[in-house]
Amino acid sequence: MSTLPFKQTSRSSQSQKLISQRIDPACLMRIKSLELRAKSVVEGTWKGLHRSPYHGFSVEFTEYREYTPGDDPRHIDWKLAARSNQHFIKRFEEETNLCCHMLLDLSSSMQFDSLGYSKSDYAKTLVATFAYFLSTQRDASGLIIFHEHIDSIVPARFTRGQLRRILIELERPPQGTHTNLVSPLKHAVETIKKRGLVVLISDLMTSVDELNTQLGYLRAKGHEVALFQILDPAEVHLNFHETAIFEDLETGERISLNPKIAQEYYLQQFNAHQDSIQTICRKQGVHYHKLTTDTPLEVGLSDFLTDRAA
Amino acid sequence: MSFLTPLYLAGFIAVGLPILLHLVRHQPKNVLFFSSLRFLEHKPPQTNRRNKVEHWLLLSLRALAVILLVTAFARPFFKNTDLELTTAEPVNQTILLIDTSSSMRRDTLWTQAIQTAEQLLEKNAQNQISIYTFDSSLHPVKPLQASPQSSQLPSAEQNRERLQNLSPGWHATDLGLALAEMAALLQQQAISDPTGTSLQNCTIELITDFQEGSQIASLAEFSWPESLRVRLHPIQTSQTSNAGLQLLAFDHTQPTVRILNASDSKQEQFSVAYEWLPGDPELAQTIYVPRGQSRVLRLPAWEADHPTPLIKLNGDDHPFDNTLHFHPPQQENRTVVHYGIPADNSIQSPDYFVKRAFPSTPDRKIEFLTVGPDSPQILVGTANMDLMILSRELSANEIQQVDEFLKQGGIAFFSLNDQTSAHSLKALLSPSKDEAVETQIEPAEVNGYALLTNIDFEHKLFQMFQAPEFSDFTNLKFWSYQKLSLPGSLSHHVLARFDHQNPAIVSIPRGAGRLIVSTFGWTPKESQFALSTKFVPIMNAILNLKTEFNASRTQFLVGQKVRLPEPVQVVHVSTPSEPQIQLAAGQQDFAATVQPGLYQITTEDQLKAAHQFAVNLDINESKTAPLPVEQLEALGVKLIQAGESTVKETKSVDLQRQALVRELEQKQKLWRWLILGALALLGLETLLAKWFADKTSATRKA
Repeated sequence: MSTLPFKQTSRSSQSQKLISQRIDPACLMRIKSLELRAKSVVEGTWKGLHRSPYHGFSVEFTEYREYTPGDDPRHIDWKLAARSNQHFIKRFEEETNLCCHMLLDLSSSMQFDSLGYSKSDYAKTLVATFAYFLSTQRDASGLIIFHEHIDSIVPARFTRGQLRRILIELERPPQGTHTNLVSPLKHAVETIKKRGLVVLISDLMTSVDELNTQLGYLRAKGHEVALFQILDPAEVHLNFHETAIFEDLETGERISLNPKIAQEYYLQQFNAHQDSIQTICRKQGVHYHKLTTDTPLEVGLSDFLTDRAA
Repeated sequence: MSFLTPLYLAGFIAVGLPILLHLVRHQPKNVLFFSSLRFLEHKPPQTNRRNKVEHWLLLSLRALAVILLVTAFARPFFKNTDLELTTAEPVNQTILLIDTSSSMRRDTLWTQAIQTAEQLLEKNAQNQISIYTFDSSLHPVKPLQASPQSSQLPSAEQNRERLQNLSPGWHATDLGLALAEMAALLQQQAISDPTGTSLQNCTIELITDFQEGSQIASLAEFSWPESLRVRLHPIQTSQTSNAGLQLLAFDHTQPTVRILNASDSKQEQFSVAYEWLPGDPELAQTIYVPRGQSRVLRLPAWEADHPTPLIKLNGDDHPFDNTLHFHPPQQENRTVVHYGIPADNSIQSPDYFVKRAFPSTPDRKIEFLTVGPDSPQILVGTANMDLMILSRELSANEIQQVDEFLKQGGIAFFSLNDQTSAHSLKALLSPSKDEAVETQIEPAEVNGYALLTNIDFEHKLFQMFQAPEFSDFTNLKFWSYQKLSLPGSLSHHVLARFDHQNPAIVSIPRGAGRLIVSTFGWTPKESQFALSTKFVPIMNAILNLKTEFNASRTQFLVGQKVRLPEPVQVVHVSTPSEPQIQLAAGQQDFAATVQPGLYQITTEDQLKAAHQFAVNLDINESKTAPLPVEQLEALGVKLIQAGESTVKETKSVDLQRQALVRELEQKQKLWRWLILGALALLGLETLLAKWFADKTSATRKA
């Protein structure tokens, strides 16, 4: 806890630096190709953060360390021992590489948009950005797309075509209806053997009762978990002007509503929901990031990196 | 106010629609898709009370527009006096239209026609009766306007008497014209007389033999009234064979005739013969004419010293059209005097051409006389002279002679071919010196050649060139001409001008006669006029300017007008039925050619022989086969079939009243104004609604 102020200061200064170089999401979403979008974000970030404190966060490894009793003698670099007469343990690159699983929610609620592009567009771009970034770092990345149930799975690899496979999955048209967080998280708990990073990207417009349990399982398995909640600014503020019939994208339910009147109650409920999510994340040691779709992606990315590096 | 279709008034229920719409309008219409409703309260929004109307003005406009539309559909109209008058039993009108053409002379046709007419009179005794007869034109016997109370005799008796006085004539049949005129009269009556019977109550009872020769083409140009009905009473005869004669040509004493056989004839073999004495045919020739066809026959010549015979046809059932009267055409004597330089073979002389422009024909014998300057003074009786042509300088005596000739009504043609003749023209036109100064004649400057423009094709001189294929004068070039300027006081008419706008041919009235002045000469050194195709027609047209009576024409049809030779000279005309018909002074035409035969015009001038002409039947009258009724129907005439009752007979008073109501409503057409009013209200409503909407949205934004 004592390090928190420092962390926040560091994150804040980096964010400000990024904001000055940010790409407007509206402009970004006009780029049709996901890959290009991802490249735009990552290259921009990379250029902006060249030689930054985050350099090599996932590839930074100690290649050799001095042998200590108890280490597996198979890992002793005998060639080096022959040259220097010292025993060093060689750490394989594979061991040091990050294995990231991204769980993307593409349920119907993610189709909502008030800015000309939906939350799912934003989320897909975010996933593509991560995947591209990880591929540049030679880290393994995998993708699980889910809505009511798991829609598609791209197992985590760091092969050359992995980014392409992820992008193809992302570009498939959305078919989702409801959101069910339990199923993908359970799948992740059961199938991801290797410890790594699990990133959950969702609007979390669903019940979060089971979220605590499932995140707990993942953490217990030793995974590092990050939760990106993607929200539309309209969802955060409910700033509609005219009375209208509101139709639920997931259930199809309709109610006539005067937003001015309903806003207070909505914000109350919504904030309570957000609080419960943040409480769960805090409790389970999950990196929580709330991103509204008008936030530049670089900000989200850098926040995450900063948070993780901290 | 009354309504033609009052059931439409039920549409007033629709007024409730805008009221309902006004009450339910507060429900939101736009649907907004939202990610999740889980955080929203499931409570319907507070809306305005359903029974509260915000915009009373809009509501009233909409309701009023609906009311106007519904009223328009109900077709309102205002009752007037016409309608009140029609509540009484309408008067039906029957028009007897009886064919009195010559084909009705066959067999018992006329008796049948009168019987039919009498039956119709009896049957329609309650109706208002009018009687007309027709042949080549329509003749009123008892016209539409005649009041039935005007006579002391009972109306039916009077009508019967009128019928008995009728008899068929010799004219051709123009059924189309008669029907069209009759319908036009009835239409006029329907318009002008508000209390009179309308066309629906009129029936034309047409009594005719309805023969093929009846002309019905006039109906093609006439729009037959929809409500006027004609009942056809075709009169038939059992003996259908009939043939007719027509004179085609006459060469000395040898006439050529056409024999036409009716298409329903049973005979096809006929004989044609001369008849010098009544009932004594000679030189009969037989001829075969298939039914519905005609054959041309050249009859043998007879000796010249014989009087003119009749031509008789034998072999058919009906003799009314079997006699052909004719009179050999007479050759007319015309005298043309040319005051010019006599020339026989020199084409440089005007005389050379003008002498050849008036050839003698079988119809006329031209006596052409050239009077040169050195010729001995010949005494030419101006009364016998038909045309004077002047192409040289005239002596004072000659000028006086021409002047006298013009004053007596003669025609003179003056050619201004040089300056010397110009002096003569000046002397002729202006006896006083002052006027002579005003008349200017000088040679015109011609650059190359001049052409004729502004030709008055309406004038008799150029009438024959009116058709586009003849009206091209651009090939007629003039190398030189005189520029003629006449004083304004002198009455004259320019018939043609040169392309420099100078007069080319001028007509100057002089006394009772006329002086035609050409400002050019016609020889090849002056112009191409004499060599052109226009020369001979124009010169002959000048010759015929005076004489409108064509003495050579001796064949006319019954009913045709005969132009009288000289109104002042005619004393009387003798016809086959009347020996002497005294003509009124100033009468130009003789129209009483009512029957076939020979006619004779006797004039005051004892020197001139009496003019004879023959009048015959129209050959169409010989086409006695019945005409298909469909032809009449095809031309739009609404026929009532035999035995069928008319619309007016079957219609009850209510139905008739309904028709009148419809007519009244169509006249007033109030529905148009109502529709316009509704549209105007809707337009106003749209503008107001937009204004209200703008106002509301502005308030919301604020």
